[in-house]
Amino acid sequence: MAAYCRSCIVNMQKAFQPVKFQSLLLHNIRRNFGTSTICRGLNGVPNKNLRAGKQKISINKDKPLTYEQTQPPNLIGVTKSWNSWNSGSLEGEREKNAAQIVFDDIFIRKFMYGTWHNLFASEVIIKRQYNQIIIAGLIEQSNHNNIYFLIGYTEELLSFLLKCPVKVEIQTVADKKDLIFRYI
Amino acid sequence: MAASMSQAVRLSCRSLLLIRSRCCPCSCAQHTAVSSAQTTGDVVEKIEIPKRKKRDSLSILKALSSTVGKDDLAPGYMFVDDPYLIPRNPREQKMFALSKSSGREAARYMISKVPDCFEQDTAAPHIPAFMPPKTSYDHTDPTELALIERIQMRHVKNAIEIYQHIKRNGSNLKEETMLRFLELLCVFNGQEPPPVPHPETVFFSSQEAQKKPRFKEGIKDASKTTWDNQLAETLFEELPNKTPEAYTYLIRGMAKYFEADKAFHLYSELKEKKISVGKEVYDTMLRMSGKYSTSSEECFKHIQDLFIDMSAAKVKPDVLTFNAALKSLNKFAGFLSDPKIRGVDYVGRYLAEMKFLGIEPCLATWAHVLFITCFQKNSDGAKLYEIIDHLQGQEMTFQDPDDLTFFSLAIKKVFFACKDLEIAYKIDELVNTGSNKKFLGDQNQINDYYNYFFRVLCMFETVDKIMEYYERLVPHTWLPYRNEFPFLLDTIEVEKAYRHLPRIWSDIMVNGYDYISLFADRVLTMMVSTTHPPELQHRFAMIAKHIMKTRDDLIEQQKKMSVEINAPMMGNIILLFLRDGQFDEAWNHFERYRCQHTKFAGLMLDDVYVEMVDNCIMQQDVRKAFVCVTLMGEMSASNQREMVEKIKKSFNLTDSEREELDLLVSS
Repeated sequence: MAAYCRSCIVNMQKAFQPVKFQSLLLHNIRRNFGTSTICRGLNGVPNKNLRAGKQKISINKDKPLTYEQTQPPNLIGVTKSWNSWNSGSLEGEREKNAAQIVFDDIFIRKFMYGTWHNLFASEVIIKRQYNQIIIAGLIEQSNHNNIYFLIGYTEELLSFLLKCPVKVEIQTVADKKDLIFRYI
Repeated sequence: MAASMSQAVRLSCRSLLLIRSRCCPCSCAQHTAVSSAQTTGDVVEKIEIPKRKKRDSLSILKALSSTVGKDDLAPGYMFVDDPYLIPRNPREQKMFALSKSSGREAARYMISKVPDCFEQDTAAPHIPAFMPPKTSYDHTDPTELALIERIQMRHVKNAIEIYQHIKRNGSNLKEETMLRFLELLCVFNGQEPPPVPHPETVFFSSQEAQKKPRFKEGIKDASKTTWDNQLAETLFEELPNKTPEAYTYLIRGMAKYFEADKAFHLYSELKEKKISVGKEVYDTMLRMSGKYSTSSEECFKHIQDLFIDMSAAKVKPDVLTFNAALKSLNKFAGFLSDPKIRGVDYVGRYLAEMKFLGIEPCLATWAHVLFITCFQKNSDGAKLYEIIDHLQGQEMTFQDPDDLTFFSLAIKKVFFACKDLEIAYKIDELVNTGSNKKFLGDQNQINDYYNYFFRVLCMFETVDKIMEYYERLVPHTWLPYRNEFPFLLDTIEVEKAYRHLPRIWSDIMVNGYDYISLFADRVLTMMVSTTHPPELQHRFAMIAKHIMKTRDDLIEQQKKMSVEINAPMMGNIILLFLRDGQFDEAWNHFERYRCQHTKFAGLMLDDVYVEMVDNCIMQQDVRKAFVCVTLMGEMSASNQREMVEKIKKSFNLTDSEREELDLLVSS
């Protein structure tokens, strides 16, 4: 255990350094926002001119997309749903917590993609109820024991990091290809 | 972890309370309705509405949870409700839960390695359970403050080190600090406290603990179970003023680590000096008296003395006191349950005393009574009927750790002593009353309870009723082990309820290869014993196919395990295919047997050849019928001659073919 973990500890120390971590974030920050108000055409920009969050068509039209990816951002709340569920956008909450919630969500997503390496088949859905964070999503089926180990590990570690009960509620799919909705 | 969860629940409870406070109109409405009814004068019964109902922080959550029951068809809360991740057999159940627990353990390890990454405190109010363990000390000099700090953090080894430093320096300690230090030493026996295991580990790892009763006291490491605490005793001697507290700590510490003689010696010293101590000391002494005495008479005397001392000291006993006394008597249960000794009377005396004092016995009390009175295997279990009748319809509250042993013990007594279905149903009804299910205990005890309940059902109940229970319990509440399936198969065989076989087989199958090889023969024999409706026949053929496929897969993968198939089983498989109308499949297996019959031990039943020839005639296949009778000759089956005659009648044979047949019979 000790020998195995020594390199992990070094990595952890690097990853959790506050300053370094933030600079890392700035680098990738665009990728982590699923949507923003700009994507939804609030400024009177016609829908056809909006590019953000839309998939480009490939030359051979063989790019596989999940249902989620096929729906453009302006259809959030119409044909697809949000990836983060919280009260951060409500009056009174916005000033207090919104930034912290977004920051935490980005961290959780990065943590999930890293820890559950190559397992997630869908987006990571983060729901906040009271003081509890629920992390949901679809994963590919692999060894049962590994999945249960990761659930325990993630719940415990994130609870200690975010100081609130964190729960992982996942469902499995036999193959990532099962989620392909359309080729474009 | 438990602390953190309770904190979490408390936090969410607060928001619920907020919602509740806005809904007061409904309670007002209720009030006016009652008062108006009273003014009309029709109401005879007066309803008194309390002005204020006392609520604790969990009462609203409890009220909410009382509106929903447990769903028997959902997996336990520690598992993921996903078809792929639901455990299918007891082994998987344990593996998954322990995997999760070891994941938590790994996270804790990481947190303890890099605690400064987890130091930020964003929670309001502060949640101590989510903070990394503190490793550094505020006070490093050997002073009293440093000792107090280590005592509060429960770092026994470091506290001892600091104490020895202080002693060497010759400085004095306050009496209060010395008492606290003595308490620490006594609770943990001068050793570092064992790590608190995760709930999943506790739930599944009691099997080892049950074998060794000493582990029941909550000590996990076998090397630390003896009282080896010279330091605590010296510290006690050095105390300037030996307070009742000091005696309490030392006696309880000795009792916890099974040092009965010293504990009794200390107790007599305490009695001589006429020091009054609390109820805990008497409880501990009562629990130890069984260990201290060599005969039941001696044990009774000790217990009686202790009770007399208690009444002299005006210490009020409660249910735990009596439980402790009865637990000591458990040691002599074999002797007491002898009808000549009338041990029941002794137990009755304690129960009468409890009634006199107005103490309601809890499940642990009844468990001890049951254990003592029905210890012998030939006892009629009369006491059990009384106990269950007394408890019927009650919802229990948790009072004693031994409460958890009652139900599994009671149902075992039903199976071994009473052999009565009625009482088993009554016990099950009691288990399902309110939230009594939580008294079933950990996984091992739950399995015990349901195993024996099921065995009693299989003894007396009709198969449909058994299957009704089976469908409800399996797989989420209980998973049958290899010892339970034979009971079930017996019942099915007696009642000829073969329609349930596919369901049972699917449960046998998920347990793995060893279960398949264990039950394949039995199930195949049952399936071919009579003919069935076509749909069922088809499902049976599927089972036969599955058994063959499992065997072939294992051979192909060159695993160590194997599913043994002998010739009678092979015959049954062929019969099942024939009866399902799968002639080709049956023929393939027949050919396989014909070519490699040395690999299958034993001989096929004659019925197989008969039905095979009949089917060949139906298919109008002369060649296959010939192969059949040839094999019959080779295997010296008894009715070869009849079959030959049958073939001669059913087919238009050429002369050479007739000759060939005659040759077979004559040779």
